[in-house]
Amino acid sequence: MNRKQSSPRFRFAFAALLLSALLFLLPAVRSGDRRLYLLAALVPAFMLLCCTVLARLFSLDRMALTLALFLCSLGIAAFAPADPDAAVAQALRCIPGMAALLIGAVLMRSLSTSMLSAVSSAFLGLLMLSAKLLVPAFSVPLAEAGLALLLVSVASLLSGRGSGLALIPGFAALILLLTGGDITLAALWGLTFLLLIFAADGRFLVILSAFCVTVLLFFGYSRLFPSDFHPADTVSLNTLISAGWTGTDILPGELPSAAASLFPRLSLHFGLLFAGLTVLLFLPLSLRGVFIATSSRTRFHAVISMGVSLLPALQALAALLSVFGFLPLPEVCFPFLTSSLPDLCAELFMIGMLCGISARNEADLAEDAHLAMLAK
Amino acid sequence: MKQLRSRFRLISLLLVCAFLLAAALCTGTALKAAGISLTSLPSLPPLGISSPTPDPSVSPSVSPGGEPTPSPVESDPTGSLPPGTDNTPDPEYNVFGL
Repeated sequence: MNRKQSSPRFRFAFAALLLSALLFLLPAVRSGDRRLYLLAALVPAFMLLCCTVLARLFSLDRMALTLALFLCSLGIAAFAPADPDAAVAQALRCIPGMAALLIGAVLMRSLSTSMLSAVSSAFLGLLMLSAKLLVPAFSVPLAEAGLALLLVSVASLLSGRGSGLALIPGFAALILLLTGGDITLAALWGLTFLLLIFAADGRFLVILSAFCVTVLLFFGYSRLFPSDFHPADTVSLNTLISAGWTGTDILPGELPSAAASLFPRLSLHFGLLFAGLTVLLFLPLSLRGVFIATSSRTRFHAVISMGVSLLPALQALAALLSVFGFLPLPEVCFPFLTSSLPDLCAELFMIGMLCGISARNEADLAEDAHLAMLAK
Repeated sequence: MKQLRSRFRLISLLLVCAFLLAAALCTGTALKAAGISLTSLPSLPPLGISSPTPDPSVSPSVSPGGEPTPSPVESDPTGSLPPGTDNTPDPEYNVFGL
């Protein structure tokens, strides 16, 4: 990598580090809390460590990693001004998330398309989706992690055995999500699955039949459970606007303390303008994923990276439209801006998958260059 | 594989359009909820242009009898008020809140 190519990336990483330090320093100076000073030092240091040492060790994609870590630091900063203890807890939640990212990267680097990987990942994914149905007392949300595994299965089947078999785990996941009442994830998965079938198969009949089945499933669900289609019952838009464009230190009483979504907190503390700019960060993240998908050598890796880019992007879009009351969906969390540990781990696992595919692409390019040099 | 890549690019283009559309829609809604209408923006006076001095074309205040209102200094019979001490600024022109 020459200096001209690396310079913008380093500048971007430096800006992200500086901004993440400022997000904790400003409330720390105002309140004089030691924990916030500690976070102001540790969070950028951890980001720097990940973006340099870990990225070099595991050949991770630096841009995707920096964006994901910056979004995680925003999630920590959302708690910082009002509740430093919760901010520390959120920071601790990011550490297992980082481990999940590394697992995803290593898994994707070594995984290739096969019937065994398709069947085993489909089984595990469907098991995670049906955990709530099998054991009603089980309250850990594993749906996003299950969808990440199902992506592997669907990509494997779409790339090797045709889309006929890929429809089975895809629609099974959709039915399980609808049965479990997770209407938001079902909508996101349905749309991602249809787009992947459109990209990887492209046959009009298959796309039309998949589209019709998806629409029929949602239509049937809306007839059976019409009360599930309701707008988000979270902080109202007027409350967010009352905090002003630059935010406020005092949170309104209607903000639930145990809410999983951190976007209302972020927009109340740092203002709607900053929160809006944060939402726009999901666009370069998904475009980076599309770039990795188009650079992939195999259909398997291309479809996985496209799916991994589409899921968070569509989730961010749905969350944005849901906050403003345009979508009749229950509470949708922005990716990485959640206080739920399993969801955070699943989202970082997907970014790890993206980084693993990027590392594989780079290894392929290096091998090509080596072969070209030998041919000379 | 080439077809797959072109479809990926099409999907990414759709995604960008959806993001921009959603951003425009949400900005419009937020501005509307904040009471700022885009159509009323051109009619708002630009900040910092409004002059603290009165418009010279406007005639001084005239009493109902037709005679000009005397200034506070002129109306002070004792003449104890130094000039400029009680000329409280007109609230209409008091842009600095003094």
